[in-house]
Amino acid sequence: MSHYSNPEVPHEVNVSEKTPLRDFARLSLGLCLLAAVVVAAVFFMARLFAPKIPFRYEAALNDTLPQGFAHRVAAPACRIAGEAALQHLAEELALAMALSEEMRLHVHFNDSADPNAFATLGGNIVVQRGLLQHVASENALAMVLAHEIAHIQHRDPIVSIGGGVAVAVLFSALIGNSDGGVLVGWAIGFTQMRFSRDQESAADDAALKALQARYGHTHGADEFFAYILASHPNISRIPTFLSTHPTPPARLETIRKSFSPTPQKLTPLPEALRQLQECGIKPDASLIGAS
Amino acid sequence: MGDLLSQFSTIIFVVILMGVAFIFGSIGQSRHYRSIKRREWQLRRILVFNEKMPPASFAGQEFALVSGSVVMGSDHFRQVLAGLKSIFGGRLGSFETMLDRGRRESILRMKEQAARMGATAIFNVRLETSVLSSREGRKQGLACAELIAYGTAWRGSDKPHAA
Amino acid sequence: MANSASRLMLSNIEYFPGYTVSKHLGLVQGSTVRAKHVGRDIMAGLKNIVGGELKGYTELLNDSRQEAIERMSAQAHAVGANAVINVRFSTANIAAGAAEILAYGTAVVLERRE
Repeated sequence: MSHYSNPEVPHEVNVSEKTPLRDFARLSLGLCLLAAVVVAAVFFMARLFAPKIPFRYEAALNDTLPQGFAHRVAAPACRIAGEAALQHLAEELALAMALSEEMRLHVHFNDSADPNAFATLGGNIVVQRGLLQHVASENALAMVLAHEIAHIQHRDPIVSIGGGVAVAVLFSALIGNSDGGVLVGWAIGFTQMRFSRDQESAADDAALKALQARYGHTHGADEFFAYILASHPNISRIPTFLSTHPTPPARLETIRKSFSPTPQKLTPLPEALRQLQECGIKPDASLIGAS
Repeated sequence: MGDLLSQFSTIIFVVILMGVAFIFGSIGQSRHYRSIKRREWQLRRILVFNEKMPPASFAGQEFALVSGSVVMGSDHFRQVLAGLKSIFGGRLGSFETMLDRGRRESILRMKEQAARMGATAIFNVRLETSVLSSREGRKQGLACAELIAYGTAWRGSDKPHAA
Repeated sequence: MANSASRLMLSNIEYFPGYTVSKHLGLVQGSTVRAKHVGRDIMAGLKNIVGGELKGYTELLNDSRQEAIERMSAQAHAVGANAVINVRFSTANIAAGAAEILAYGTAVVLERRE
C-alpha cells in the first residue's frame, strides 16, 4: 500500500486576478466605446428611417408633446384674420409645391419681436411678429414660408428629432425607468429644428421653385435674408433658418442667382397681414415659442 | 438643474465608494491570504483526502464528522469589475480570488476542528459552494457565497502509513 | 436524550475499517430554515462593500447546520442507532434572506470489531 501525505500544492493556479485596476480601466473604456458605437448606429439608423414614418404618426406624436400647439381660446380679430391670411398664403404655396394631401399645414403667429420663423413636427409652422414686421412684400414672406413648407415636405423636423428620440428611447429602455418621456422630451428640446446644411440648401431650392411657380419670378426672395444680414450685429440671435451653413451670404448669393435679368414688380402684403404686423396682443403663453 | 446636480453627486458618491471598496478590499485580501498561508503551514500535519476509504491502519480508531464553513463577499469594486467583465466574457478574476480564499478558509476551519479532537487525517472531504445573496428576489449576481468543507476526521494513533 | 445524541457517531464515510455495521436503520434527516435578522443584514451589507468574510452570515449558517445535525441525530437516536453514516449537507436559498440547511444520512448500529 502506498503512503499518505499532503505535499504543498501551488494554490496560485486557481487565481487569475493580477491587475484589477488596469482591467477595470480597460473594460470601462471598452464599454464606453461600445456604447458610443451603438448610440451612433441607432442615431443614424433613426435619421435614415425617420422619413419612412407616415406623416399622420408624426402629427399624432406632436400632439402628445408638451410643445404641441394648443388651440387658442380667445384672440383679437386682427390676429384671427392675420393667421387666416398666413394659412391661406401657406396653402397656396403648398399647392405650388405639390405638397402631399396628407401633409396638413398649420401656420401659427407668435407675438415675439424676434425676427424668426420655424417648422416643427406635424406640419406646424410658426411665424413671429419680428419677421412679419421686417418684410415689405408678399414675395419675401412667401420665400420664408415656402422654405419652412419645404422642410415639412422633406420631413426634416422628424429626421432631426428622430435620432435624438431613438437614442433617448434606447437609454430609457436600458435604464429601465419610467421617466422615458422626460428623456424623449429632452432629446426633442436639444435636437429640434437643427437642420443640416444640405437640408437648408434643399429647402431654399424648393422655396425658390415655389416662388417661381406662384409669381413667375423669384425677385423679393432675398429681402428678408438681406435684412437679417444687414442688421445682424443688432439682433441678439440669428434666426433658426439662417443659423446653419451655408453662411447667409452664400445663400443670398444662390437666391440672387435665380433672379430673372429684368426687374419684376413685387406683390404687396395683403391687408390682413399688414394689420397683423401691428396687432398688439400680449405674449401668448400657449406657444412655447422661439427656438 | 437640481436633477442633474443630484445625479452628479450620486456618481461622485459611487466613485468614492468604489475607491474605498478597492483599497480596503485589497488590504483585507492580502491580509487574509497571509493568514491562510500561515495556518496552512501550521495545520499541515492534518492530512486531507477525498477518498472514501481510510487505510486499514486506521482500523477501530475513533472518527467524527468535521466541517468548516465561511460566507465570503466580494467588495463593491470587484463586483462592478466582474459585472463589466461579464459583458465581454472571460475569466472573472475577482470572483476566482474570493472563492479561492473562501474555500481554503473553509478547509482550514475543518482542519482546526479536526485538530481539536486530535485527529491526524480527514477522509472523504467534500467541498460545496452555495450562493446566498439574491436580494428582493432579483438576480444580483454573485454577491456572497457560502463555502463548506466537510469530511470524516480520524484519530490515528500514528500517521496513516500503510500497515 | 441530548446526552445519548451526543454519543452518536457521525461520518460521511460508508466503510469503516475495524467496525461492522450490524443494523441498517434507514434514512434520517434534520433540517432548519433560518432567516437573518435585519441588523445582521445591514452589517453584512456594510461589510460587503469592502468584501471579505461576512462573519454574521457564517455564524448564522454554522448554528443552523449544528441544529440540522442535532435534529438528524434525534431521529437517529429515536430509531435506536448509535451512528449516522454517509452524512450529506445541503444549503438552499429558499427566499430572500432565508436559507434551508439540510443534513441527512443513514442511521446504523455500528459495532467495533475486536
